[in-house]
Amino acid sequence: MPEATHGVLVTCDVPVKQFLLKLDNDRAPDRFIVAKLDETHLFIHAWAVDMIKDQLERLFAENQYESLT
Amino acid sequence: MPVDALVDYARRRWEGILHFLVALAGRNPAPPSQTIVASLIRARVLEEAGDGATISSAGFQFLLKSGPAQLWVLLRDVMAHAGGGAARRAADRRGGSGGGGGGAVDPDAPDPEEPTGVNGAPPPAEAQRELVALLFALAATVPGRAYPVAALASAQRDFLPTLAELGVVLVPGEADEPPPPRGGEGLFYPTPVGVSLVGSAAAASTDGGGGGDGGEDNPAAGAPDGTASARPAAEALLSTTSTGALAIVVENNYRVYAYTTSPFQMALLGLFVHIRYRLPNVAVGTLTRTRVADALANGITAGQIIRFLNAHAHPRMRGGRVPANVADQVALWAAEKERVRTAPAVLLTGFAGVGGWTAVASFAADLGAKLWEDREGLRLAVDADAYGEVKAFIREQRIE
Amino acid sequence: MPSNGDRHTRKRRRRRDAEASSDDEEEEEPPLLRRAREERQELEDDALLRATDEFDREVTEAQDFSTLELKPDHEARPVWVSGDGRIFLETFSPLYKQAYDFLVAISEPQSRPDVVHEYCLSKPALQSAVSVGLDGDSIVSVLSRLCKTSLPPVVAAYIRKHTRTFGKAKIILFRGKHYIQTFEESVARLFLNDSIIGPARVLPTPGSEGGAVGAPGGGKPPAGGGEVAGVLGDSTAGGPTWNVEGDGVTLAGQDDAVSDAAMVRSMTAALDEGTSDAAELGGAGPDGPSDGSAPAQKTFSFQVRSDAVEAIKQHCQKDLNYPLMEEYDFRADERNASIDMDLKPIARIRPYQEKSLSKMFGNGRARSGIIVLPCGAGKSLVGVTAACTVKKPTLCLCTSSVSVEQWRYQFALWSTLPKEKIGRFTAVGGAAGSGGGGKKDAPSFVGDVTVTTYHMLGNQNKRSAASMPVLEALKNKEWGLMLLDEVHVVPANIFRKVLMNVNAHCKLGLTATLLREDNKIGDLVYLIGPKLYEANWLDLQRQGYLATVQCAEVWCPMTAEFFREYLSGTPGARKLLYAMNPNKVRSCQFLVHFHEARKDKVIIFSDTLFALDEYARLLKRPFIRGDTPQAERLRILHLFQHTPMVNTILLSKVGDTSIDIPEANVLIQVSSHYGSRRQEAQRLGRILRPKPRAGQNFNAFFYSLVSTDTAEMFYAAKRQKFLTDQGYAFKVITHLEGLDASPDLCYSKREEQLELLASVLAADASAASATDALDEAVDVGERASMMRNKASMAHLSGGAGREYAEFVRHGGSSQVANTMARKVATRVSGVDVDAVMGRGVVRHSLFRKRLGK
Repeated sequence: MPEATHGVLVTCDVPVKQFLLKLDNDRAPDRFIVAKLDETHLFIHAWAVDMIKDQLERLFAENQYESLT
Repeated sequence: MPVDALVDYARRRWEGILHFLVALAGRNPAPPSQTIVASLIRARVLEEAGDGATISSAGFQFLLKSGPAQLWVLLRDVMAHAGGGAARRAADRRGGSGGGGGGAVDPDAPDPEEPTGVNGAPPPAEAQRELVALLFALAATVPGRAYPVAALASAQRDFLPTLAELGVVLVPGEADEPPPPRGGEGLFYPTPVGVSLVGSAAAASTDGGGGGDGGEDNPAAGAPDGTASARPAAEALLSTTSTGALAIVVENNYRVYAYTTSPFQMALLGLFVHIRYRLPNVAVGTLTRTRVADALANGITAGQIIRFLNAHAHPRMRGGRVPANVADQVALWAAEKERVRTAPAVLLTGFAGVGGWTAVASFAADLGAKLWEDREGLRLAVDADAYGEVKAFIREQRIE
Repeated sequence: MPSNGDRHTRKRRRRRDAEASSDDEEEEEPPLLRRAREERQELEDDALLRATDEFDREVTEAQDFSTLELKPDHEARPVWVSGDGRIFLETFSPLYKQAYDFLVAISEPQSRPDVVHEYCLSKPALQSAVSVGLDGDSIVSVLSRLCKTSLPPVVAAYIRKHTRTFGKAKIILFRGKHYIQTFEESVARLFLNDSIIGPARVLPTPGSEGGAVGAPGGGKPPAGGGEVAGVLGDSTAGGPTWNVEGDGVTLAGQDDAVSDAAMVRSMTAALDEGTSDAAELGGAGPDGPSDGSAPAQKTFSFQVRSDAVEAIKQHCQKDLNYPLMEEYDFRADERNASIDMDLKPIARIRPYQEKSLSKMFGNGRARSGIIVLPCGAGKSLVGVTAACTVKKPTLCLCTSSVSVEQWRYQFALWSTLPKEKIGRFTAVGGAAGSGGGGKKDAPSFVGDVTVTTYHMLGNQNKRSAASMPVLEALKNKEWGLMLLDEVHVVPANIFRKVLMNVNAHCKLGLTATLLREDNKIGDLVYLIGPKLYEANWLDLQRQGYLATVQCAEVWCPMTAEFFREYLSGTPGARKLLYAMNPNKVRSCQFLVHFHEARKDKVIIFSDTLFALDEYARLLKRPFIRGDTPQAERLRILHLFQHTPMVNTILLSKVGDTSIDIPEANVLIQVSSHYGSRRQEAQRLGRILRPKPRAGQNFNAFFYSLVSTDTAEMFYAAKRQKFLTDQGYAFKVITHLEGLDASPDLCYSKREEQLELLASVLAADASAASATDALDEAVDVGERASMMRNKASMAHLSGGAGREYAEFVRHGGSSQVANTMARKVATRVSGVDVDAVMGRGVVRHSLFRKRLGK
């Protein structure tokens, strides 16, 4: 009988995956990654979805230069 | 009555409604009548939220459609609910509320989905026929001339205030207009918008079938093609209802200069442009990632933003459209949202052999529920919603 | 001239008031009444301006000026002016050309793309405007006419306030002594009672020269008489003349003097409905600021100590609001012998060069100030022409010894001055760290024109014995004109020393980018003078004076391993990781192959020396960095410019300014200096000289390679800001077509990438992040403001820039420079030819270790 784990499948690109791995490490012991699937997929706990989206938005925003003048 | 005045009137009416939508988040201009608000909710342009109504994702897309398309979304809905709507409207007026009321939908109002006639109004089907007849009759009128209200059937008469509110006809005394002059009682004036309505229907119908279809990104939106319109001139006139004399310059350094005097258009632009200056006939702003990201989160797509800007491109702009680097950048901002996708799923591991894994994987694939697979590691991720069926399949097939 | 300006202002006011009160009397207004009225106006203006000493530039909330009244004929007028001093100009207006010239004279350009320009009113800009012959009332009047709406009263008040006191006082150099001169007694009293100026006054000893307040001089300084008058007296001689025989270009100063007025008048004519205003503008416009009919005026002048001059100028500019103008009446200067120097007939002066010079010589004298022209737009010719106009001893200052020779060449090329009269003053000992190029044949000597570097004059310690006599000669000479090349890069402290060491009657600054990340540009205004002219890049491009450049930002995603290390790396390691990202190396290689196949000439820029070496090794192309000997540099440049053997070279940031490579038409930037907008503009300038390539839309290419998801994204966008505001579009290329299909690119295998990563990580942090030689010398301030930092964006601050590194470098006398250079460079001397030519491989010591097992 195969084992079933409920969670959320994350599909992303290579750098985003690296970012999520780092985030997971930094948050130990509250890790959110259940399984590292491949270069572009991770399986994570559902509770972490909003958190990782926030963190990614922060990463993207940080690298944006916005000038209003 | 001068045609110019009627054009101006029609524009004011329609912009009032659109401005109401745009400004829901911020400043609140005078809200339209219950009839219109109810119709906007049915068309899913507005959605009820807590103590009031708020603009929906589809509503944001609605804003970027062409004028005729927008008008027809509402007209179609109002006509479909004619009996109830008009009657309730009449009730509103008798209660002296005059269509005001803070923009929120009255929770005690009768269910707007129920198209039954009340207060002795004609049955809906009959009423709708009369209304369609009225719209066709308008096509044969001459803008600027007055027509007697008495000549209309009763359902048509009941419908008149709503049409006035939408800027299709002008009825003295209705929709904040001054009362009729002596001897002018009982007359109404079709506006150029009203006269060209039927002609524009073809164009509008290619325009995505209304704002209530939710989420879909219709390439025709905001740019009705001339071939579909039987009366291009009228079409152009009508399209100015929502667009006015809007002409937008987008520079390749993301600066935006929108030539407009309409507060509505400035507010609309403010949905995805950071406005820096408001001058009497121009709004100055910048397309920023922050503002565009907000718009994307509201359900507006990158394509809609660019099409809207292109549709109103200032004639002095090189190539008559948004500079390529800016269009690319807006698309890239949108693509950023796609860099990570999440899907509730169930990860299946520990298969005893390739056979069992293959069977489950192909079963899930047939269901359209296979999200990810790893043949070598015998792992599989399936859509959480479909897991019940997959689980049942595993049990039935006794997959090890 | 100040007297005249003042007189005109008065006349203007009078007329205006007369009109306002429907009073037709043409009689002189009694002085008391005039004074009272002016004071009233000032009070009103001040009340309006109470909250607005400077207009706020950090606009975050939408500024609502929608209630300004639109004129009925607004469509015929090209401009909006907001209540916070921002000006918007429609470029498609028939009045664009005149409006542009006017706006660029009174305000700072902020954004000049295709359709709508933005400008900002500012104090320095308004003062510049006054110095080129406009006055406050005519500025207000013209701006009102151009404006689609009524002019916001606060803007008019602002303009009046900041033009009122300008031009009332000047500073004059005579016989090596500085005099302050004014035509108004009240100003003289203000100065003498001032706590800074007063004590700096040199009291005249009996029988000596010197000034005394109060003595009417009739246009001459009071004491000292005759000789001083030669300098200070009114000159009614004709304007300057550029004798260009070939195409008959002859510019007369008197004609140019009216150019501002002509501009105003033509605009007035175009805008005007024929009211009496037109007559007013035409008649009393600023067409008469030059001398001519000026009656004798009282002048007040006194001498000040030369070492206090800079402090006084700053004080007058910033605190007293009476900026000191500097003008040189070179025609009347009989003390300094004229030099027989003219433009050669082959010299063709372009319209914008002519225009910029007319601003300088507009009233027949030479005004000190700054001319801003894009790179590649012929700044040298402007400088040479200015020198040929003044015809007095000229000192030319530039940033490097390479530039010194380039300037001497330019003087020999365009002017009739023989080369043996074009002196140089450079380090006699040759370039630092060099194996010896250039010292034998470059002796220093003083000529009628002498070219040197800022560093040679600004750095007094450790001057070799051989150079002392030359330095003394330069110091003792009275220079008619001082040309200041790349004036924006000079750190203020070096600049001050230069100005203290050398006496010049007139200073002309030349630059492409009047822009510093630390906002110290303002200092240049009192150190040199106001901005005289600024050309529009896009206009010059359209007219064919600049190459049409396609700018692209190429996105290079980080590989998984590089990004992993990046996320946990130190700032230094991060910098190296995004520079060495294998996908970036591959993109660079791809672009080099692509453009070499098109027979283009390619420059690759890398600030990071580690990356420079590594890219050179991989591409097998020669490179020049700070420690490359002069002879080697010249040889590489020669091969690049004149042979097909070398079509790509790599440059460290020494190439930003001091190497002129007109042949290059492709630029690839792999690593750069944080968010420096100036560096980006300077680098683009390397390829702006137009190249004839028929049938192509773009004849030059600028690629900025950016590692995505790293801080480089932020810096890249910031760096581009200046250029995008000049109208350049940066296209984002997320994927280079054909990159993946190119089998011959490096780092296609993961093992190779990992090996590279290992070497990057192993690199000693200090060596790895070293840019050219002396990054440590960079003032923390400007660097901090260039780095990503929220506070710095809102509030730029700091000191000298990275350029300091180069001065030390080329000066070559600093021991610090040498030791630093040795520490940083792994190969100090004797770059072997094979290595440079790419037949061999130049290896960083780390690679040697790694590859040599």
